[in-house]
Amino acid sequence: MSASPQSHRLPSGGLIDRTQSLSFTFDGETYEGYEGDTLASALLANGVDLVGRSFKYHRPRGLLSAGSEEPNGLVRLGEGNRARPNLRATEIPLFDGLVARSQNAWPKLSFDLGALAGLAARYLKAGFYYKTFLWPAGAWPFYEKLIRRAAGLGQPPCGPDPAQHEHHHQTCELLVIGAGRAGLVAALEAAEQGRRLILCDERAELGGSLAWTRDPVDGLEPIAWWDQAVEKLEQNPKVTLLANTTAFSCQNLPLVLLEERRPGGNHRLWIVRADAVVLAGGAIERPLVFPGNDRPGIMLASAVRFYIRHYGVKPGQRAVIVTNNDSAYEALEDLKSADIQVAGLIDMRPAEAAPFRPDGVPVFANYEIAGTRGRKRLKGLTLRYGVDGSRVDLDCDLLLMSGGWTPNLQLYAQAGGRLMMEPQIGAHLPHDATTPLAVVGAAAGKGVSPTAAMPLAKGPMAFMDFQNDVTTDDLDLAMAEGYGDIEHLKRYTTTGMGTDQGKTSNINALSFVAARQGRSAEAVGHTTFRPPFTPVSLGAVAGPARGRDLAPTRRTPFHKANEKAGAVFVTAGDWLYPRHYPHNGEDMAAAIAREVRNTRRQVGVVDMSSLGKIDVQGPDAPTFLERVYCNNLANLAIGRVRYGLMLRADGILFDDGTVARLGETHFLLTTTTARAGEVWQHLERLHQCHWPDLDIRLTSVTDAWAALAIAGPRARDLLTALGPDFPVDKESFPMASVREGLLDGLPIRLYRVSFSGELGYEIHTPAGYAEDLWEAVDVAGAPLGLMPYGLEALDVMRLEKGHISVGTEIDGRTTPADLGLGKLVSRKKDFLGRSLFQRPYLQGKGRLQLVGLQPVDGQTVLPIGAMITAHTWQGTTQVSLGYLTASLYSPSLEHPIALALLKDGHDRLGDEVWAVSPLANQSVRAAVVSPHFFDPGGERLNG
Amino acid sequence: MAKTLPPRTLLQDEIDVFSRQAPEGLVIAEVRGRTIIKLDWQGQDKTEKLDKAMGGLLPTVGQSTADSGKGALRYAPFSVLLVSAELTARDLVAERQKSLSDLGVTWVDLSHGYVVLRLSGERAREVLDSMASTDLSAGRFNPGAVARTSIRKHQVLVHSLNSSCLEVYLERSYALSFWHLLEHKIALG
Repeated sequence: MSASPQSHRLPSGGLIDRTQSLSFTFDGETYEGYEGDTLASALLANGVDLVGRSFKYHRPRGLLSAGSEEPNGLVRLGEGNRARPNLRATEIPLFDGLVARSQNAWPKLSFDLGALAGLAARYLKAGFYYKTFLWPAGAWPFYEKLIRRAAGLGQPPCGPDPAQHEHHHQTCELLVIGAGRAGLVAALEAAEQGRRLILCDERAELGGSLAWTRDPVDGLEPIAWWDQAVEKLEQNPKVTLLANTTAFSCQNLPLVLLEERRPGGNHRLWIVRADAVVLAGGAIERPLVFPGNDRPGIMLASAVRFYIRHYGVKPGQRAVIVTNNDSAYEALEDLKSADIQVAGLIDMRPAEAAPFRPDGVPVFANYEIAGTRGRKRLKGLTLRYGVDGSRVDLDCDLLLMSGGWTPNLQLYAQAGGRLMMEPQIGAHLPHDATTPLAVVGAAAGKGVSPTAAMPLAKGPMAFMDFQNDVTTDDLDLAMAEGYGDIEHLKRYTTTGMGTDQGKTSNINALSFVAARQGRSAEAVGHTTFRPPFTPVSLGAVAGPARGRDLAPTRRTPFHKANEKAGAVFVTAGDWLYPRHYPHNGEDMAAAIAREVRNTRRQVGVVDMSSLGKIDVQGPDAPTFLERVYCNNLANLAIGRVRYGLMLRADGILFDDGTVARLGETHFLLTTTTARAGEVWQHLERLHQCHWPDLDIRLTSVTDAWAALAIAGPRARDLLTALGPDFPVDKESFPMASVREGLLDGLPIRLYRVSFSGELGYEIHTPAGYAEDLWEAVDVAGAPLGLMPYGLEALDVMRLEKGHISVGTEIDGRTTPADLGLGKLVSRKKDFLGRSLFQRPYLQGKGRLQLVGLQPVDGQTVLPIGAMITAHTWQGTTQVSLGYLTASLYSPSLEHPIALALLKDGHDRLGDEVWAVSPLANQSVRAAVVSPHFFDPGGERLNG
Repeated sequence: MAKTLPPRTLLQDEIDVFSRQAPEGLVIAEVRGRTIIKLDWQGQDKTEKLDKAMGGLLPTVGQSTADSGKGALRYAPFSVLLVSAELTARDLVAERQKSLSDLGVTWVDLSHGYVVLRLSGERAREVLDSMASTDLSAGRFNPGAVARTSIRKHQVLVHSLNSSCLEVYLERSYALSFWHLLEHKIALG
């Protein structure tokens, strides 16, 4: 389609650049606008009246405002994965090639079948879905589909967002929010004092209402003053000016969040820490509430002035003004300048309230609007005289309405500022001087026109909330049904719950409720203001945190060596960990089985660097560890290692690991990978908050040391081949030993410990030597049949051995006794968790206890996650006796095995139970056995 | 006999690629082989004694000192990092071994636990400042200042060497992850 002429563009005027013509499309039609336009102003310039459909009734809607308060002009901007739904046309700077589509209409905006909902409007009042979809109960699946289809506004893109979003931290001495006159004055003063400041504004140009007001500033025309002010600020290197940037959260002052909308759909989230914040957010003009107040062509008076003066647009040909305050009278001059005929000025106040009697314009004092005409564009009004009810009809295509001004205090309230209702303006003002941020200009009520109380609207389709189609009838109904509190009314009727967050509806709604309830607006109160002030794109919130950079990723010092060895990695917590090392196209199961068999028969090597490692030093270190671990450590000799169990204060098992004594007052703890961070915090908290008198120092050395475990019958041969500078035979270096020395010339700490159940050693070396260690082990191990094994093989072997693991057996509910480790718990000393560990509930009968399970048929792998029952699954309710924590086919034993937590399991060895998985529709009969399937006597481990 | 292997660099490949198309005003290098010792003690009285033992070179909290190729970075009230490009950990401690033991000051060698990135050039501070929750701007984070801070969940220690040069101490396992963030930030200007 060829470009439409800009039929509603004034021949001159405005702050647009008429030399820069821009082409754009809306719903597939091509139009033209100018540099400096918004999508909204360009649509108006092209005579596009209809920009959207309302949410519930799909009523045709035009633009109401010119700012972020816009409830109607929501569009989908862009195409494909760059598309953004629910953007306000009033806030989208026009650019060449812009593509926008209307929302919530099918098959098209001008002919929307959804509008049939309007025919049933009388049945679709507030809360109708709560009442309607209850019966018949069986129809709910049908209703659900309907509701899901109708719910939501706009369609997000389905694929990855190609835009580049980012987070940007910034500190400053002063943040000024809002760059209208008051904000510019505040910024200029601070800049003159040499302060480092940020001035932000949600519009594409700074200046706010200076673009359309006429009052001189410092003796200059508003725009001339504005130019001067912005130029001064631009030249100051300590000033950062941010247009197209919305401050949307002040909830955690001095932290303020801003969203900057940058070209190309790239968003930047500014995380600002400001010494001081000035809120100069201005005020939002309120609509008036009367029947049919939502037709295209009915706009806020200030918006019409803005479109005329800022964009050189003529929003209509024949206008009427309706107001309850003086400010709308100022629009007369702008209408005249745009050659728009004024058919009348309706002042809802008594005649004597008018500030002046305009020449040549019929004034209807003490009138209100009884109804409007026109479907997709306003055609006329019916007025009702307040004294005798007589009616007057007026023809017009543009209605300017002004219901007073609401200071923009959402951010102030988010920051904890208290609001007070000011009857003079019918809106809230900051309560007192002890506010979390300074409020200036119209946001503080400065220059805001006094407003007459709003008369109660009567008649159908008097909209309170345009976006969510909430009418005065809805509020009346909700109150009749007992929803008296403003918070309840908001949620029941959805007023103020749209993407505009009630910027144009909240005050009207609470004034209406106050009048209906016969209470003061102050007594009615207000709803809670929460971030965001305006919708924020998810891209800005995520910033760089997506895909590869979704979360921080840790790599072990052996990462490159693992890659070279062909590891397939898996994320374990923050760590990238080798899962298995497939050979020649092996699948995972085959690779795991091979790695297990090789380790059991020869020798394997596994990267253990992710284990938490905490260095504990200080004269009170032994005392500290005695309190932290529930097993006895007092007699741990230097050069020895002991398995340690930590309890939480409630007696539940928290973590397990090793404690190595390197010196009289020097220990090294290892923790599980999963709990390393938590254990670190736990120990720091205990030291700093509970036992600050203990002279100890804690240092996480996880990153400083690389760790390899070698395991298998040939592990000692491998170790010997590596040439340690101390003896490693069974007698010299027995099980549970630790020693520092050199291995192949590399500095090491050698541990004789094992998680796999094999003869095993852990070799720790400073992380920078990791690859050298790997290389040395690889070379020395080759003749011995060394193969690396991954996380999965390690898990298989620990299960075969019956070793417990965090997340499966240590699950936040089990105690050492439940897991067969009760004998380790000291009965002599005091330790964290002792008192509650001894409570009868944790000691008595009925506890879930760790057992092994084997299928009776000897071949069926028990279903993972299965419940344990006394009988086979027959689709009927059964009592659960416990559940499986791990289950697999054992390559070493060549039959399936499982670990389970079974009620009183320690007394049930030899019993038969059923492993039942209703989800898998599987029941397997299993024998209860010891959890130590492999080498139960520990001959291999201690060999 | 211990091998004298220099600790390998971790990000050199990435830095080499970056350097070929680095934006103006920004140079990034990985500092190799730096010895980093963490000293810990407890109590204000020991702080004063330690300062004496260090010849008055114990910096105030959040500051650093440098002397003859050795530096001290005081990032917490009772913790300081001693750094050196030339001395080994044992040599660095040996100088003060007796006084440290007498004062009950403990030490841990963290040389292999950190990767140190040096960002220099007129854009260095701006880039890092825009990523960190701590104010690293020129007027607030002066030469010599030290701070531990969080950069998108990465715990780092930042040291201002001069107005256009900062060093970032990264936990080794997070180094590549941090590098990706840094690249992303630099690419977006």
